[in-house]
Amino acid sequence: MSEQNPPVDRVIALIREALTVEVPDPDLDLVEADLIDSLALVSLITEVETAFGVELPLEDFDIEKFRSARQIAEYVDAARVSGGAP
Amino acid sequence: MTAIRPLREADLEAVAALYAELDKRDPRLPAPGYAEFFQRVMLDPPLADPEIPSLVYEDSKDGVVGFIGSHVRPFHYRDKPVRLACSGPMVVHPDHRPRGVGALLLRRFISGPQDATFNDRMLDPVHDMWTRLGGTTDFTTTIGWVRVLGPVSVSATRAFRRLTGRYRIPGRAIFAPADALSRRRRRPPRPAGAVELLEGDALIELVGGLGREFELRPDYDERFLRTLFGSMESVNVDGQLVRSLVRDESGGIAGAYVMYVAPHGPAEVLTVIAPTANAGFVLDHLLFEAATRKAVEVRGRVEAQLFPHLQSRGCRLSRDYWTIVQSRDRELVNAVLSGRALLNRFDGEWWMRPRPEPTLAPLAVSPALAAAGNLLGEIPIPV
Repeated sequence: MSEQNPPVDRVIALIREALTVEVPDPDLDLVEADLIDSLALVSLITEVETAFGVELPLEDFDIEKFRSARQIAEYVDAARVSGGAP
Repeated sequence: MTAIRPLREADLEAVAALYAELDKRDPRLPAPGYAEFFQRVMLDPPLADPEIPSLVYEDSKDGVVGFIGSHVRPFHYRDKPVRLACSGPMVVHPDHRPRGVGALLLRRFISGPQDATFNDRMLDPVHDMWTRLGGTTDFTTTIGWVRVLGPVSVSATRAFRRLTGRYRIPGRAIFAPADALSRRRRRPPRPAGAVELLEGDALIELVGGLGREFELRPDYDERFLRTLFGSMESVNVDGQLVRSLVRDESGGIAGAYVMYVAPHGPAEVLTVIAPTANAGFVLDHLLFEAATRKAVEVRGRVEAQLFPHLQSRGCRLSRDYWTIVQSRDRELVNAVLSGRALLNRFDGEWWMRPRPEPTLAPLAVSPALAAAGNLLGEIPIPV
């Protein structure tokens, strides 16, 4: 991971803070585990954008890459590099 | 890979299939009229604005699995032209709801080039979504009002709804004799002045004269209103469209209202447009016309100019749908929250229920009903 890549534990802390959800495993599929629904997703996107200073894409936001804490960290990193969509 | 993109004509059948669940239909059965309806209100001019389109969510495997309608209305804020976009209806295939499809569609829609976005027919889950995306709730218009005209029918309908979950009680006219006794006491009195069919040019004149009270107001043209009213007459709402212009005793325009009226059923008010000074007078005409057309209750939402007149006319307050507004321009939001915006239910998704069966003629243009109304000594029904 690059230096700018947000550490997975920061993403886990953000999920705990924003959604009051404990993530036991950084690779846990949050959708599969029913921890993310539409409402939680909206909150998480907004929180991630604010916390990491990125704008996540509008048209091609790929939920398949936003399903675990580790994926979210990688997604944010890719968005930073490309200045938009990963 | 998935993508959010503008609605295209080729998507209309898929969107109609998504609506099957909303309408409790079998999605495998054809839905005649749906695609044409969506084409007219969401793709064709003058109702559609290609710069702020309706959106679909396309899944690489399952195709179109989500949809959000866009209804863009030209408005004036003071002297400045602005565009208001009303979202909805929003439909997502059940299998894709846990993936946040609805939230992503709404997020993309709100980020469009419109000056403000609003919705006035929201249930709790979508309202929560909007709030998290930065929307502001307009609590005044979230309050509804009800004026009961036929208490027996209303009680029977509520009991039927509790038992069956359905809103339309079959054979509801059987309660009319029981209502008749109490209706005499509850019937609104005949007001002075007169009503006639509300045409586009009169509505434009009326709204144009309300700039002092409503700094945010619609900027309709006749073609737009003709298409809008035509579409509103073709939908599957309980009742038929009634649009009336109210004139005072000297023949001047006092105001207007638009509602759906179902004989022996509800009258649903979409708008009451009047300056504050005339709002009570126009409301009197509305209640009288609803009673004349045999509605058993009249339902609307609280608007700032109506509020002082509701209690004295026997209207009770109730919970209604959420109304929410979002804009980067805080002044526009404040105009809505402070009652200085003229937002009509027909500018949004409230009435947008495609009708699979043939269209019925509106009551307002039925000569037979007009003649019957005149014979009964009721108000002249516009023809």
